[in-house]
Amino acid sequence: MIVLRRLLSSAVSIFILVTLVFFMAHLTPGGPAFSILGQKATPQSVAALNARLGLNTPLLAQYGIWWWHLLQGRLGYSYLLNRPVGALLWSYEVNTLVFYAVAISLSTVLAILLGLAQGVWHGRAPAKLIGAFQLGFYATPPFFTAAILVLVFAVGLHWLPASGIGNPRLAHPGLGSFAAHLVLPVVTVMLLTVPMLSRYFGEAVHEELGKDYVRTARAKGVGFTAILFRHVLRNALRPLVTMLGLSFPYIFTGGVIVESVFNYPGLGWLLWRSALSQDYPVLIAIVLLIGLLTVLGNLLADLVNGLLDPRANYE
Amino acid sequence: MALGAAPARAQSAISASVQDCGSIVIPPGLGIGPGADVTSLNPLLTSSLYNQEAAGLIFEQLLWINRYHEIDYERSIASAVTSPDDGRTYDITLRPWLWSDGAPVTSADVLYAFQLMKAFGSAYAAYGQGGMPDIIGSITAPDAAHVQVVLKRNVNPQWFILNGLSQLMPLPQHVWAKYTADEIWQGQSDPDFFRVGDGPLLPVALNIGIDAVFVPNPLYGGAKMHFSRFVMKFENAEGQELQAVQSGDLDMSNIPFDLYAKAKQLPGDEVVTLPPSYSYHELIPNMANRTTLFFGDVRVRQALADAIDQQRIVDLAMHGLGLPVYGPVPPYPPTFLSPAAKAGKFAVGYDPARAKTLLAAAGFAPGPDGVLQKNGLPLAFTLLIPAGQPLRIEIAESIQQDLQAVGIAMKVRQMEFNQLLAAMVGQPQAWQAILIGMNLGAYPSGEELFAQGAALNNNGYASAEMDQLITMSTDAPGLDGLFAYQDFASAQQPVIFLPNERYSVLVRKGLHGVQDFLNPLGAWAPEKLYCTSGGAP
Repeated sequence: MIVLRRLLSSAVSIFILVTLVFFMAHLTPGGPAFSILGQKATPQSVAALNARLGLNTPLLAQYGIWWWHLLQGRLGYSYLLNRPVGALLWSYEVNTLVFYAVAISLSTVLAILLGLAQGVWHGRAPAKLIGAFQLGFYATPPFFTAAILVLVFAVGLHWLPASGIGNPRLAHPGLGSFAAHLVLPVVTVMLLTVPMLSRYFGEAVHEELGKDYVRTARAKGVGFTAILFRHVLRNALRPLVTMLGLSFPYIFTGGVIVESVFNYPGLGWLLWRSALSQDYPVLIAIVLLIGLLTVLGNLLADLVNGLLDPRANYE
Repeated sequence: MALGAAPARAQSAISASVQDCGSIVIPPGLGIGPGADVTSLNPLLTSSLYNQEAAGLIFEQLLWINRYHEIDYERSIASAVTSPDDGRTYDITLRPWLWSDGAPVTSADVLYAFQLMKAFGSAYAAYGQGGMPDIIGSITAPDAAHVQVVLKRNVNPQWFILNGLSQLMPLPQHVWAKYTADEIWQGQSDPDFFRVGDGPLLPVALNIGIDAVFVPNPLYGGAKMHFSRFVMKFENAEGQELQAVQSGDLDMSNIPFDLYAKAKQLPGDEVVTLPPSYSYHELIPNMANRTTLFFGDVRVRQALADAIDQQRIVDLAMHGLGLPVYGPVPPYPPTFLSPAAKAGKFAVGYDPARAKTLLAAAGFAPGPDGVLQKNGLPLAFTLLIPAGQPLRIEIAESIQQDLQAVGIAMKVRQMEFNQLLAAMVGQPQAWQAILIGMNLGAYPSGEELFAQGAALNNNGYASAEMDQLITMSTDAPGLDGLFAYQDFASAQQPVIFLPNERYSVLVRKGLHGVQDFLNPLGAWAPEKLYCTSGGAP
């Protein structure tokens, strides 16, 4: 019942979000015809293209048509890329999914290890060192981190490719090439997310270690390692799961900046591009996806937290 | 009479150490500007230069226009173009040529392309250029190897051949005829749609946002390729392209002007400086805006041109890689320069003192804040420039400084390019001046630019004399009309002409032929690229 109520309120939020984006996008000066026709656009060619794209009908009618098509499972056709939006989103989605799934998984593992160390050694030199790392990298903008990584590992050392998704010289680049192209983008994302996640998790571990149940367990002779991994870890994971739930949409939509810097064809890159060129069908479909995933991410985080701590009550 | 033929050029001898290059990977937009990705392969629908580059690899030109603005028959499907009545009728002879599926290229394919142009109407990317397609009264195919074009009126053959007739190309009627115009539109990004071509390369993949992949056309009738794969890889910015050459991902990249000196010092790779582009920058003063009616006074426009130090723009913003431009015909190649322009004699040129005199003669006097004013209204305006383009920003800042020195206040505002275009094309009260670049056709006439009601005349410029001279340049045989038009436009400054740039390309060691591969008029000649094992041959 609670889940149903949450889903209903989320559906209203998504409806409002999509409606706002639809009208804001269409009312922004410019228009896709100018992106397509470029500098030699004339009033006649713009009018002809707008008619072809269906942009000459009243805005409210376009809005109604968009919803009607969506109810039929059609997301429209990209004005600029000349592909069905559904297929386009899927091809970019796969790239983003792999990229962020790897980045977030590795980040989570590393954040747990660092957070445990920080919590256990709270106030001591190793924890302070970890704190400095967290602060330093969390404050560094990802485009700067990305540029430095490219300069060092691609341009300077020639160890890794600078951009793209596979070796363009090969007809079939293969998994190795794809993995090599993922390294720098993944490391860039990790250098942003690990400090953030580990800081939250470290604080949670420190708090849990100070609680009565830990003292009781130790008094009963349970070993520290067992306490840490059987009890503290489980309880401290809750804020981390919430954070991961919030980042769930990013797993699917990607980071605009990182994907742009590395020329990685993911959904973030597509979002940025469709916004600039006013490719409305693509832009609105991605916003819809972000809305859905945000709802789903929050819901999943709550459910997992409920499993981790049955006392949790989200009503 | 054979028209506009290029003298036979001896093919540069390539040493015996030539190797197959394997895959060649380059970004779109080489020698033009920051790359963008390819989104369409249909030559009739490709309004961006990047798309034109890709489409030009798949479909051979009927008339190949080289960098000297002449027809290169060695690279053209046409073996001759004649005009028996000097301007109205054009007879085109096709040489034997094959589609990649083995079918012969015939005059029916040329007629089919023309019918498609007409069907697309204003959606046809080059609609109106060289009068196409509406200027053609009839187009017939006496036999499979001949096409006859009859125009609705007599025109200057040089103008029509370079700007109009050169748009005609064979398209594979035997493959495409089963599709409607809408289906052809929908298929413009699908490489499968373009499996049959007659150009040097055929597409095998168009990965939107990633790359466009081509392989040599085995039945291509021209010179042999020295590579097995050709990839147009899309990068987001020039800086990225440069890094990609250094990291080995790309074989060539444009060099941003501010990195030119550094690029020359890079070990291993070679810097190739290309001829200046056939284009210019322009400051478009809006004479139709109620707040900037002062631009309608030719003395004000001349004063703007006199106040701007173009050489400083070339030296500082373009790092020496450009040429000042004072009229509508770029200085290189000098093929169409008027005698006065060739001699460097222009009605305008950097002269701040003359700018002040002109402004005083136009009734402007210094106000209390130092800005010139007339009837209490300041000589001030806002210049819109496309967002995120460092070169344009530097040019605008240089102009701002020069104009301030003669008492003109100019603000600079960046705007997304499509928003800027929307304002320029349909909202005369929404902008005061715009700074953009203008690429010209092979014959640099102004019928699309400065004639009253012309497609790209967006700033309200109107002059009966200009209209007359433009008509003379397009309709009367010879170059006298073009010369008179360009001298008049230089004096009128319907837009303030600004320098054109000259790009440099960073090329990986061992890859050669870049100068011949890149044609400033857009079409690439991939057969010119070759590799050697030991660096320069």
